[in-house]
Amino acid sequence: MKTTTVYALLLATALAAPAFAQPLDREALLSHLKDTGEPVNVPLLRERVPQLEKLLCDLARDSTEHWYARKRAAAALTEVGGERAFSCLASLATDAREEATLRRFAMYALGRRFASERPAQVLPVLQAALASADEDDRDRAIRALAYAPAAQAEPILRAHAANERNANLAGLAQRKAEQLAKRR
Amino acid sequence: MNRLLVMAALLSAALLFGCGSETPAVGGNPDAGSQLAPDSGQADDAGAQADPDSGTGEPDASSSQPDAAEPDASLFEPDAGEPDAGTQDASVDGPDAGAPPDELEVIDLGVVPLNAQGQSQTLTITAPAGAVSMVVVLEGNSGVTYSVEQLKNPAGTVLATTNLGSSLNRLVPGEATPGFLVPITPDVAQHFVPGAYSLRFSGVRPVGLFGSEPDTRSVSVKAVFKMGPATSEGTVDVNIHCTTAAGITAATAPTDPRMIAMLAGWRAIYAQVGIALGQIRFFDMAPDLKVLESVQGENNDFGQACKAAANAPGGALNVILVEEISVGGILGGFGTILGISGGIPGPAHLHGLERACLAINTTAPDGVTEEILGMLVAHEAGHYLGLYHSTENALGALIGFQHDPISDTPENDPNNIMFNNPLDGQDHYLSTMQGAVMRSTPLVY
Repeated sequence: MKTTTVYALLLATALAAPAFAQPLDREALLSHLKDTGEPVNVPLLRERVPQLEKLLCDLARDSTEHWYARKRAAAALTEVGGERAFSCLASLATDAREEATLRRFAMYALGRRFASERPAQVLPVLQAALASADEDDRDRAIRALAYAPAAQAEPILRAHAANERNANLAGLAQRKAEQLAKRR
Repeated sequence: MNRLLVMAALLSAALLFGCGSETPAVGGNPDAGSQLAPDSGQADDAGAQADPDSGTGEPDASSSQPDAAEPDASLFEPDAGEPDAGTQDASVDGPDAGAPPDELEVIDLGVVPLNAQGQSQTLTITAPAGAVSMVVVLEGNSGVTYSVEQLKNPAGTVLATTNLGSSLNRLVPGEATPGFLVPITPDVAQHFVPGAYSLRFSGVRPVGLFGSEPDTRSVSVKAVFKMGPATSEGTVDVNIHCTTAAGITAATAPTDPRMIAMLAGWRAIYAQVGIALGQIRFFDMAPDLKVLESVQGENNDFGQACKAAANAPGGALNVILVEEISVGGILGGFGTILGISGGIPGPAHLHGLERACLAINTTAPDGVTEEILGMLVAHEAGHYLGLYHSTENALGALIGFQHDPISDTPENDPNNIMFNNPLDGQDHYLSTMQGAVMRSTPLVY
């Protein structure tokens, strides 16, 4: 324990999982997604769930499922990454018919996970959200932009800070811009 | 290997429920905070507690008149030992804020250096006669995970080591300033005896994605003893911090249906084990903190929120209402959770610490929030008051044990409020022994 790490130990857990592997069905996955206290164990799910990306996307988009399980499915998808994850999150984030909590979360996750590697695709989504009449939409867009490349995101945030009518959000945008400036 | 697996699985919990550091103030400060006057339907000076730098423009609760319906006074008044509890004119001035000093004894063990391996020397902690529990709080460094390497009681019995599966008194590692509770279950209460305990702990901090190194910075150590006799009833005071999440502020909270439902649900669950909610105070907190983008690592958002709660009176459970709690995954990934506690248990009665709070997510589709908020805060507060999940998630089946160390909690029962997934439960309950653990912690008086 003195020289090993938390991360190494957790990795050991993940790597050891296949030895116990039984494919997890949808119900078991849902149970895990509803766990209120732990992050979703994506390394384990990768080993145990066939077609994980598809199943997670289906769950995230399924309005008949428990909202928290859907949100956690979106989070797991974010961690899985890849093309399917990106397209699923982008779809969730831009679907005006989608429940607001899910939509905002997908938007934030999209920025946090993909803004740095796919700025050309993600930044327009976030910029559109900055123009939303909903303050929580703008809040999440500001936070998500902070994960985008600084050279592109900082000017956007500064411009938004200057025009944002909510003082709290203007301050948030300004602080995020300053954090990005330090990274440049 | 099994040991590693056991450790790894529980460390994942410990990372989520670590504690933090800052300058604590032991005991309550009855004059420091605002109290609700439920019979007037407004907070008397909650606005004075708002973060002056927040720039919130939030209304001053002392001058605003909530335009919603009159709150149910019984929701905000102390309900234990108050003869007028439940009446409309009951004051919230019940018990003094914070546990009465004579219920706690605090031993300051001073600043403890750690060696090049991140290990402390062996410390001696003398438990006074009449103590019913001990919480050792390490006031350590942000982002550092601390583990008890060995804890022995005066008889020389090893109560805890890093091998959690074989420890009599399971103590999970925690970040920054964990609280270590003895006894962690009534099942081992016979091993908590007066006299000299020996304790050795260590700290490591992550380096990069997979690496780590011993943390050699010193740590302040305190031992907080809850003095007996053990009782079948208790009270916990609550500070609720409003970040504008879900549109709730200190001024509007007393009449907000979600807050009313949350407190009613929480109160009902804890009443099963003789624990009443005492003074309920509401405070404004900087809106930036309504989204917690990190809950672990150096200077994480959750720790910042806990520290921001230091403006409220000590001796109370600090509950932060937020809209989103993002967590790092096992390998630095991404996730979201409904709530987080500052520790299992939280850092005792010490106030102002980086992990001296719990946070709950108030945002959910309409109609669901009211249903789950009481369950959620009861669950996270249960962690803060010393309870593990009654049963960990089935996906953790690869580890050596999944059940909490309490013998009267049934396995795989989602109705237990401390089940890993209480969202599926119907009749939320706490067991008799879970109640005993909670009442043995310093915040319950």
